[in-house]
Amino acid sequence: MDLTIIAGAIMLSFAAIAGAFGNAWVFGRYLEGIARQPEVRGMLFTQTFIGIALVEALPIIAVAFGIMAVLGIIG
Amino acid sequence: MDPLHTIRRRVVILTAGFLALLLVLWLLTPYKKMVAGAGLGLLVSLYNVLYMARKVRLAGETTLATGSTRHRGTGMINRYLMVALAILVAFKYPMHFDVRTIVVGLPICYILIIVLEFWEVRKLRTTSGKG
Repeated sequence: MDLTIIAGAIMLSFAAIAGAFGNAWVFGRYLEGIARQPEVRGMLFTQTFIGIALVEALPIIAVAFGIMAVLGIIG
Repeated sequence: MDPLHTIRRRVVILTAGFLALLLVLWLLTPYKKMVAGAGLGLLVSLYNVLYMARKVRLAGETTLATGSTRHRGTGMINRYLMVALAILVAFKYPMHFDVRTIVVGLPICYILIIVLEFWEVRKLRTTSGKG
């Protein structure tokens, strides 16, 4: 099997795992915060939005590069 | 005003501006494939951000209604599959899209959110006299 495909698959899987853990952590804290103090949900929403954007920007790029590697476009 | 509405409106307006700029570049420059790829990435990025906003809002409303902090997913797989779909579309039609420039457009809306929010915080601090 071509090593590029394995590299792409590893890149995809690690990006997905890292993104999932980061998202779950940010999202979990958001829900806990809303359940505890519903009156600050606007501020929590904004911070959660920024947090998920920060967490997810790099894994999305890594997923794109991983798919390109699997398809043989790069590498 | 609802912060979700404000953020969503600003991101959509700025992304529409970027798309208009890309359209002008597509019309005027010979790099049509590259510009089209970046535009496709930008559209996927906008979808991802709007879907994420919807998921966060729904999760918040569910938690407020039920009091439960358990929620089914953040839609991450959906967003990743949209990226995969964009790359597969560009791979299928290489005469119209350049696959590599999709990556340029993918993080733009995320960066926009971060920049807009930091700008908003800075504006608030300046008006309150702390900056």
